[in-house]
Amino acid sequence: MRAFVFTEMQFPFVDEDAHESVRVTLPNKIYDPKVGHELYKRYFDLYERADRYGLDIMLNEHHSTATCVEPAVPLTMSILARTTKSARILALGNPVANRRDPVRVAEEMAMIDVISGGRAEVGFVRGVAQEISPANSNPVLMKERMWEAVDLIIKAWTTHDGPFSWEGEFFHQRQVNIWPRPLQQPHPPVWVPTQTASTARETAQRGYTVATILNGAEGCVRIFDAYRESFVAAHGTEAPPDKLAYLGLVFVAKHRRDALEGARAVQWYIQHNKVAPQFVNVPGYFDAATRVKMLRAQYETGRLPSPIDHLAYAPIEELVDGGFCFAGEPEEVAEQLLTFRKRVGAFDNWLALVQAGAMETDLVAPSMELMASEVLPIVNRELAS
Amino acid sequence: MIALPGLARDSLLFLHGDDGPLTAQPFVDALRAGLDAPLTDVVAPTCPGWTEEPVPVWLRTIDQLAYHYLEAIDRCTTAPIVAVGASLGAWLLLEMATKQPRSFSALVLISPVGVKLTDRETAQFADLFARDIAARASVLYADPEGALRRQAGLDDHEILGLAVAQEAVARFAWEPYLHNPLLRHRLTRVKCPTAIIHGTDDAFVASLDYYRRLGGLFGGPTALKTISGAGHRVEEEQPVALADSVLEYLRDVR
Repeated sequence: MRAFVFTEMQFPFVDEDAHESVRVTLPNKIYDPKVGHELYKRYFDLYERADRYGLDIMLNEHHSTATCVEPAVPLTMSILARTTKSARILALGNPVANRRDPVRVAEEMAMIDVISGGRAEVGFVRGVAQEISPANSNPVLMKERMWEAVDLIIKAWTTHDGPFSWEGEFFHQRQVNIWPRPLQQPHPPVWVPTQTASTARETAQRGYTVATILNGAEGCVRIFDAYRESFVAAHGTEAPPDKLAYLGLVFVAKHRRDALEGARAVQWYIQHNKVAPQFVNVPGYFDAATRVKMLRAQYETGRLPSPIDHLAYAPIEELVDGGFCFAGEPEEVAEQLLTFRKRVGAFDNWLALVQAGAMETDLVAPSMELMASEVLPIVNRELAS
Repeated sequence: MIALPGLARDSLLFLHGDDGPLTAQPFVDALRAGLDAPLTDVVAPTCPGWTEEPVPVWLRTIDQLAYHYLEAIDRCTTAPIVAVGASLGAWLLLEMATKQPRSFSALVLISPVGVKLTDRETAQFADLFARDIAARASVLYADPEGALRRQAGLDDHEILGLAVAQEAVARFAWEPYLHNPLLRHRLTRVKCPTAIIHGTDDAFVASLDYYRRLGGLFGGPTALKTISGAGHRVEEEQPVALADSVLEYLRDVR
């Protein structure tokens, strides 16, 4: 089992009640760049400590939002490629359905792979609905665009005998001949995060790593089972556990009471994601049949309930039982993880949201250190036996 | 791809707007009830994308749809026909009329979109994808409260129809938003008599003057008419008054 630690790099000082949405339309005059400067130091320091503890790193990208002030994942990856020594650096991911130039993504990721000495793990994602307007990305046919972009990037990474041309349904390129090429051969590991079984199946057919996020044990099983079935059908062998990943909230402390308090601080992440309904219920992003319930709720109440509303203020113990959170003393968290693994089947990538809101490094670092020094050794000893 | 059963030289072709056939039906009924010779019937097809039938990946522009509609018209009749379109349906008619002017004897464009006349920092049309349902209603209707009450009373099948319609608008008109930048440069090819009808309370366009300026770009005689008590979706809010206005214009140009 490997552990990738993650923070969304939030700008947490926003009065949400004063705004319709903290995503897409929140004016950036609310963002204080001087405070932001200090926050970036905090976030990069946290990742650099994770590297020193022997943990891996997960990064992502969102736009026009206080919930994740990280609008260019190649930038954060490239900084960490230089300032860390051994951590795998996972982008989860590049929103390629929203990027107009997949070849540029291929170049960026290849350069980061070379700078980091082959530590890049490259995720590709369709992107959440609220990214569509900031990217001005047509929400119809996004999956088709994403997979064509992925195909083009893989071909750019793996073609070494001079240029090729690409005239696809969505992307046209001439003289594709990226420099540098990736250090990892034939290319860096490819990941796809998803909350849907259909994307999990396609990811399995392509042999990429699937990740699912805050789905709880029940949701995770649905994704993992779809992946495993399709993997066997496509490749004739069982899906290796290192092709599956799950993200939950995580806080570890020497004493249970501190751990629960820390986990409640991480829970801030779920509580502060106010999005106006029109940026979630986007035509074409969800199919029309799925949108009927969403539209009915809006027509009848003017509101759109979030599928994770029930998690926002749930007791931590309830989140742990559901598999949304791992919190406690090291032995306890190891046991939670092993129990979760029994419920959803073998997976070897534990993605850990370890920081949220205004949590400072002094609070988060000991939790990460315990993950590395106590939780993972217990889990890996148990799995080896 | 597109079939127009019953379309003949004495038909009136009606192309629905962005929200599909559901909300236009009372207008179509009123139009049909008031038709007089030589027009004998209203043919009101549902556009590809506005049904649950899958749409080919390559079919994602109004420009492309126009060629398929023209092909369907040509299969039915080579005589020029009368056509009426609402909003996005009116845009589709403008595309067709600039490609093949001989196919139309008269056009009625209800709250047409499809042409941008504002500067680069002013959107010509309100962004339907950036507004919650109340704000959408306020730019589309003279009586937004009434529209919201109607929406709250829809059954699941009707809501599905609207969801499908919204997806179709995204497919065909996401970017450039609700217009074809090249269309305005060939509007002189609209040769037949053409009426533009809009609601007096249309807040969907950047300025009501849009409709007058648009008509001024056509190559044939143009009339501008208004319907009071209506916003952008005239056919939904004032179906009978709109049908009367359309039929009156068609009698005038006959």
